[in-house]
Amino acid sequence: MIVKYFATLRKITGVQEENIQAKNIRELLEIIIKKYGKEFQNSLYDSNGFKKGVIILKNGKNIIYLNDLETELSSDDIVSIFPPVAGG
Amino acid sequence: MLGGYIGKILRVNLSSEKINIENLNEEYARKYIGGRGLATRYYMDIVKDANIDPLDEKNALIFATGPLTGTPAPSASRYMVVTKGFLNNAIAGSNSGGFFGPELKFAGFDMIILEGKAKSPKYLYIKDGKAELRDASHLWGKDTHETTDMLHKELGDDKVEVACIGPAGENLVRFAAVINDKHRAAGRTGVGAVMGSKKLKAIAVRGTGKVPIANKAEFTNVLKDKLKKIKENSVTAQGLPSYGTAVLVNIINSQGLYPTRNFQFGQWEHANDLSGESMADKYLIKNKACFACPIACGRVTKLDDLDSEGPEYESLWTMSADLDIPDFESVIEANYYCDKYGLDTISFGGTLAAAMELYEKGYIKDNELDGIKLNFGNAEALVKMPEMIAYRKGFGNKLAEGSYRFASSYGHPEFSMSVKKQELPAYDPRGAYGHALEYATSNRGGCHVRGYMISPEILGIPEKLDPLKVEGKGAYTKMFQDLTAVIDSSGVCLFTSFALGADDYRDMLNVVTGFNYTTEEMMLAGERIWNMERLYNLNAGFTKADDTLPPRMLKEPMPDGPVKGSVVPLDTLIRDYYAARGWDQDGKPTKEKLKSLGL
Repeated sequence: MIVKYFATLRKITGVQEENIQAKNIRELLEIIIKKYGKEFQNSLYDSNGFKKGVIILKNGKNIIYLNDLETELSSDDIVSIFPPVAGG
Repeated sequence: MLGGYIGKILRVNLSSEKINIENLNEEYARKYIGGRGLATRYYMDIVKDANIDPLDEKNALIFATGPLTGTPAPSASRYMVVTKGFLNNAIAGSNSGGFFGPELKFAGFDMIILEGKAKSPKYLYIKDGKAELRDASHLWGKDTHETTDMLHKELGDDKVEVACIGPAGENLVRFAAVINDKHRAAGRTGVGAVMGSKKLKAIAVRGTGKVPIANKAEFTNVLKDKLKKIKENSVTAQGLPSYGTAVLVNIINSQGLYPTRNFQFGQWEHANDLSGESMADKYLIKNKACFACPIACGRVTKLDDLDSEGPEYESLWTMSADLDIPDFESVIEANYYCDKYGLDTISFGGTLAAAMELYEKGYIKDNELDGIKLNFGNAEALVKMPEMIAYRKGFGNKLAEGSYRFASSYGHPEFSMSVKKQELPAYDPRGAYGHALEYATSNRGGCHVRGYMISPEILGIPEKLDPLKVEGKGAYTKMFQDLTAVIDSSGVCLFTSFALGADDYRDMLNVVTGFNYTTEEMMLAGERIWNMERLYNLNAGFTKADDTLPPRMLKEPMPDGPVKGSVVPLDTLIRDYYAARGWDQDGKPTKEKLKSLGL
């Protein structure tokens, strides 16, 4: 599937998007964190788990309204990962 | 006088040219805090007739700071312009940052109340406790940048802070803004036209005083604590400083509520190319902070010889996706012109979007136009229209009336994406029902910053709410609206609320003013302010029927994206909201509610 990175995550990955295969969101995050290391991990997590405001979408839908980390993925899905951002 | 306030109000009658200095009402200060709340209280005391024409000589125009404005509290830069809005006849409160508000306090005043109409153009010059009206004939007709530069030169001091109108305000454009620091706008509701009707071109202010702090020893500790929270928060420490407000483009677009082609669609294929991330890559020169702001979300951008700022998220959206114009440079240019001529960017883009839909559907004919076709995607129209609207030239004269009056003149008000005649900002309410409620009930008409429900519904701050659920949205929206009324009245920027909560604002207000509010008492002040504004609008002729959304949001299912099929279940939301507010089924505050609020 295509994984899209946004905001400060792009500074870490150096790419806006890439193709990664994983069976669910949990596995996908493990692969990405292994690839980009601590800095990426710290952008999404604090000691309590996901930081407040971190958003992960599968095809535009927030995974917390799907099956959270167990949300299954297939090769034609688009996953979007946002660190906490806001504006207005 | 308590801390935070200077204790003085400058009262200027432009008809008689009399200037008086009055003491601030301390009881009012505690009940209405300052800024938006306090100015609205004074406004309603002064202008008894809620049905007054906003351009009537008897209408008042108030510039008001809050008790935190000008203190070292984080982002304490804000001032509020309060009057009856020319765009929609509702109570108008338009907020701006930069440096003007703090300077007004350093010059010795919490608030300026302007009444009457000058016989010839004037500017108000305030310096260290003294004020005078001066001839502005030479400034009339100048844009906001020229006016600011000319006043700096004339007064021999670049540190003079200037809030002024451009040609749009002079020519009574319905959505004319007041501009300070050349690029900061008290943009919404047409406050610039009210200033123009009074023939007041500018307020120039310089001061060397300080804002008193009630509890200096404790203030340092409180300040450290709040700054730490802002510096440790990912939004205020990284997201906003790195990419500005336009960091929202991708997140809103990805979730399917990025209004495209006058809200006909919820996703735009070019969003990533015209986003905060791409602005940082291509056009950003540096960040810019308002007074005492640790966030610095402002963008200094460079395009050819234009030294521009922004565009901010709302402005970027309204000039790109809403018009289907994937041309970043044209957006930067048009945004620059809006600041220069003194136009509200959201209403500018929203009006042009309505015109483009009417044109594409055949209601506007080519022979009405001035050789500029109004099809979606036409960057030429985007770049030329700010000047045509500000000077009411040709077809621009029709657009200067705003989208609702414009679309109504063709017999199709349904193409105006507005609430209470004010154009909607950059979130399609079909994708966030609490935000839909906020749009429908905002006291100044279609507006996102009276209770920013996008924060919990889409961004997950301070907690994640399901955007498409109805239950509980009335109470949550009320709470956000009341807290926002507190923040707007205190004088700090709303963006601090991404890192701070109600108790933090209570702490800051208490150490600065010495009021010793409880959180409940402070929130009650917010609720009081909201209900006071509601009473004004009811007296001005607004009814439950005005708490609504454009028909598109209620009847046309979202055609695309993650919220495909959604329409706003407004009736249920409104019933829930009125109940949470303690209002009757017609949306009127009950006697018991008003009594409990001391109104």
